[in-house]
Amino acid sequence: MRPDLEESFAAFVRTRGDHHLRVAALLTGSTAEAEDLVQTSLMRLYRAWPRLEVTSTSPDAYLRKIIVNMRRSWWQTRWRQESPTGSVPDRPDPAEGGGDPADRQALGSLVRAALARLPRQQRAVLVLRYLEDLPQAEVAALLGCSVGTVKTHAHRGLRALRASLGDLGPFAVNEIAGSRGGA
Amino acid sequence: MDNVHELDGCDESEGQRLLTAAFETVPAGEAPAGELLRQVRRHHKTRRRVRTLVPAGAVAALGGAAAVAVTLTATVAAAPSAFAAVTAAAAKTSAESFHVTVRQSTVVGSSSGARSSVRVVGDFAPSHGLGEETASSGPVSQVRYLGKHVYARVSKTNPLGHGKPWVESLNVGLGYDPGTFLAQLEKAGTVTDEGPASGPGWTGTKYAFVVRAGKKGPVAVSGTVYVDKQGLVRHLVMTTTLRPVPGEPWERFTDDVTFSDFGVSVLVPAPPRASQVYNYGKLGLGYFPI
Repeated sequence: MRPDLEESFAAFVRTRGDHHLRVAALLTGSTAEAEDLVQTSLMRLYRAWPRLEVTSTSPDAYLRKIIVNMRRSWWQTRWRQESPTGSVPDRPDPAEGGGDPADRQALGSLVRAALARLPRQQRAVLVLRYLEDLPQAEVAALLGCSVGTVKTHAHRGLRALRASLGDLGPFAVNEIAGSRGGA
Repeated sequence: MDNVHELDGCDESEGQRLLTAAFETVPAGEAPAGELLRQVRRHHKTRRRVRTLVPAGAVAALGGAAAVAVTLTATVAAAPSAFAAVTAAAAKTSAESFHVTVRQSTVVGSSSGARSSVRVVGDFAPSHGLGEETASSGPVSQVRYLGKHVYARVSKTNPLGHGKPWVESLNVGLGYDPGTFLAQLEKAGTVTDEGPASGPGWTGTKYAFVVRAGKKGPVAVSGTVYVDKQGLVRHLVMTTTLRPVPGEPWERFTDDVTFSDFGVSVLVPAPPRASQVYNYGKLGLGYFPI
């Protein structure tokens, strides 16, 4: 690859690598698996990088597409090995208010644990729709399903998250989650 | 899925808050971005070293497109299961978008005769009539497929261009569309199951095929096709022996095509400016052989 392309690729990985690692961690439910997934996806992105520059394609969108597609194919061979998180994280204490970083950490752990228990399509829809803020049609295109299916997965996924978070209560969840600006 | 649920604004904002909390508190992993970058570079340096061991040909024959687009006639006689698996895979792959990496090698004259090879990479979305391929060498360096039109970038010395860098013609088929292979197979193919196979990131089955020659076109087409467990063509190796023209040496070429990156976005640049294009379509010639 040309030196200027090498540098732009390196700059992309440095500035956006962590974001995609975190997204992959939510998609897979495992930071180790997320690293494997993102690393393999970056190798593909590297090969495509010169073409992306020519066509002005967003590297974020391209990498996201690779990650989602690879994750989908990995799942077909690896889903039996996947297991929910081993331990249930501590719950945040609503009585202590929403500003405590420890509470936010605990809530994040709870949400990740709840996400890891969701069916993979529901999990992917929640991550792409609410974290990556993609329109429903784009989520549908990425996952190869209809917009109606995306809506149904989003509805059921949210309902399952609420059920998993249980007696924490939606008000407390929103207080804690919203204390750093939410989305 | 028939039950569609509408989400209200509260649902949306709750979803955003929860996912943001989960995202922001993901624990640090073993591989920060800098480490990922080092691993990617190390991987590609290794690949480059391996690639340089493959001798590159000096002269490339015109077009993989023509190689795949040849039409033969004969009768179908195949083991139903193997034949059905391969034809279904070709159809399914043709409905996808994908990246191809091709090595086309040509032998002219005899088995010890002149040899050449060219490497082609490209992206195709046959269902949208889009594709782009770039060759490592040869008189046609790039081909863009845009619906009914095809644009080929030719060298200055290529008489096809009449002095212009691009030539335009009617699109009679994408370069590496498995649908074209399927059409050949359905007309004249036999397929046999050769057992399990695997490649980088996939496992599946290897099939051998033979397309019997008709009175026109190549005298022989045969090869192997690898289909993964998702029913997609992953690898196609096809050898075509052209019908000898009296007074000319015979020619045989092999297309070794690897399909990957299914679902990739295929973005074909806009057509070149008209002043840069020699247009065969407008001359009423229909198409030219890329």
